[in-house]
Amino acid sequence: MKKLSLLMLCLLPTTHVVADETRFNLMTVDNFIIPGYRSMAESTNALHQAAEIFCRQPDESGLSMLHSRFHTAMDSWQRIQAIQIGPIEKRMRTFRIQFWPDKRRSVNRHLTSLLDKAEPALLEQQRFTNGSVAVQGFSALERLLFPLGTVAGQFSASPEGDFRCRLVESITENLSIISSSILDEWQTGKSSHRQLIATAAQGNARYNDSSEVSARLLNNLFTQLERIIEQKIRRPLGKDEKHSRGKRAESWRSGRSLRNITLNLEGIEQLNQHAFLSRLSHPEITTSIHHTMAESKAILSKIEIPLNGAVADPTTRKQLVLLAESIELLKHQVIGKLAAELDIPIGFNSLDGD
Amino acid sequence: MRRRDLLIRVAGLAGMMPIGLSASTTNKPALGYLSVRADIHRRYYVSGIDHQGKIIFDLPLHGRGHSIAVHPNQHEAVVIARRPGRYLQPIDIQNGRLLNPIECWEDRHLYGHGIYSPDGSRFYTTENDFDGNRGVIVVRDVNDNYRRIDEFESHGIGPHELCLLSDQETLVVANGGIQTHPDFGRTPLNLAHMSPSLVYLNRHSGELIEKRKLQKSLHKNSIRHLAVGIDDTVCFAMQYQGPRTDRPPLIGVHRHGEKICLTSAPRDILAAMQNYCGSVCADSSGQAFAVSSPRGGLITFWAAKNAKYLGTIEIVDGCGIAPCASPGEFFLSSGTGGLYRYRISDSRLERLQPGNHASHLWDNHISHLNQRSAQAC
Repeated sequence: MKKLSLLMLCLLPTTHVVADETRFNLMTVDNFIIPGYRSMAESTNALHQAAEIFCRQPDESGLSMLHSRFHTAMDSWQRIQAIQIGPIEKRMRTFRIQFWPDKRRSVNRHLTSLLDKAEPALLEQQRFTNGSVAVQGFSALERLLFPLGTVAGQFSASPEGDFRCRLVESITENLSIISSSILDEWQTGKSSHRQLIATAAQGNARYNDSSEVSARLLNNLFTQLERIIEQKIRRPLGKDEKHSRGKRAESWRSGRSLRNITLNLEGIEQLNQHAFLSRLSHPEITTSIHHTMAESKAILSKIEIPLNGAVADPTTRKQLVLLAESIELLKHQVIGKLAAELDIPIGFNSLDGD
Repeated sequence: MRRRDLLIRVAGLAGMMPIGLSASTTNKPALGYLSVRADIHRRYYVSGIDHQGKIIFDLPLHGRGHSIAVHPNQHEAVVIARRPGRYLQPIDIQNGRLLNPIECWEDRHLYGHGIYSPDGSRFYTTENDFDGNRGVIVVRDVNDNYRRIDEFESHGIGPHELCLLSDQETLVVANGGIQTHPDFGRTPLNLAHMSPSLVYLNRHSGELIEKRKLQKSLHKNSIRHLAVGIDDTVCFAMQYQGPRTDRPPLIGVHRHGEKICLTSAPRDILAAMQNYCGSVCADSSGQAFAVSSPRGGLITFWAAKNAKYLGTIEIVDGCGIAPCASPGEFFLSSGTGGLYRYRISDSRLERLQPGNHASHLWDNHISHLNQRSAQAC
């Protein structure tokens, strides 16, 4: 039966549109998604190595190396954060990599409980992975590496300091394993996700056709823009100064909230370029999207204090409001013009029903 | 004609119809349906629609809605937030204005469906007690600003749509079986251990009357939406969470006390449904059911009596379905801005031109104002 249906599909005329759609989808995979996860796999592996070196002898130089590799690894994650299709969908990997937003203080709760118990067995790889998702990634790691007081002493030669260091090793190892698994599942073997995208036009276990891949990618792009506007900017901003909540900002402890947004925009730009703009015959839409993107980046680069402080300052608040508006315009250009021009069905009910 | 429409529209929008005109029966806008929708920028609204597909009012919502329950004897309806939303938004449908919104408990969220009691004094919603990992039915007192007065178990995880049987006492609830937690957005947390069920409860005591499950091999078939037809025939529509290449049945019918009967659609039609149904409703006679499959862009029709397949129509991203007043007729909406009327007897599909607003992305469900049908669907 399967043979028969495959044969029938072969007899169907393959239109240029379908072939093109697959080509652009694969271009996105090969030029943005796989390189993005490769850089994440490398940087989290380097982060894990730095954690091992630091824990052998916890000193200031080891810590500063660890901090710097934390930032590099987080950079690579933020650049690819928009992608929500493929291996990242499995086993709650998004949440394992970064548990945020954390509206119910789950990271703190589970981290405190783990540190209180201080049982080394809880850190064994298998058990750690099966334990609370909230303590497995960047959010918990940030709390350990960028506490409000001094750091070095917390890892000193004591049972608590030792456990804390083992936890840092476990988290970084976990991040490294997840990242290399994602990379592997994207590119290796006959059942890789790349292969699923390459054969989507004929329909397979994951995709009904190649336009579903494009539609999902556009949806990812849109969702990431919404996440930046609503969660990363407006939620900490609040309706006025009095209601601003700096601690709602992403990565405020490591002082990189705005850097995250910059990297998100870079990722969006690349994704948009490979997946959509490169197949557009309409230069005006490309020009207007480029223009808005440049404007968003320009506003962002002018904000000189960290986001968690900027939300409480009248001058920088205005800049943040402008930034959210500029990214909102970008969102409208993508959803209103690009999707219509490329005839990508942003199926409201078919893609996002309940 | 145009002037009258304009007047009504303006008055409805502003919510300030002059008193002399407001209740005048001759000029009353023929509001027929209610639906939630988005615009192309993904701002959300609830819209009142007449029988010809004209928009009578359009009110902004704070977040995405899912369905609307219509009060059986007052000019009121409630928009229920899509999961994991937490608002109920009552609306005055006579004047087209929003009433005071209601929030559910901090440690609960809604699943997008609710239903009034036949006398309109109680309102029932399916909710998630996410820390307790159990589905609940919450009871509210409509006449005391929807004050929460009771809660009982739905006897399953992920309760979604709920309907009332003709005895006016028995609630039938679709427990979708999928565990979610707001910390993880809409991510399913228990696909390997899903156990969806169809449950009958007494609406006063919460007492479990009957619980039906599918055979074990179909445990990933999430029972989401329900409608009640003639002789209390319950039609349920499912969303399969297993591999896309599987072809499980997606629609079932059940009568209280009997065995579940799963329908069999023609092979190609079943394949086209892409393992996903978005909505189900009964026609005004209760003899026929319509089931939408927005992923495949088709709507199928079924006989209540024997669960026989009656036919299919194709509508891109078609999802919202409601009965028309005439038996065998349905009012349909699509996520691409289309509104339609369809008649089973002669397969007549009529696109309602006034409703053809590309910027009106009609969401999951549409409700008919006729109270009996609204209760049943």
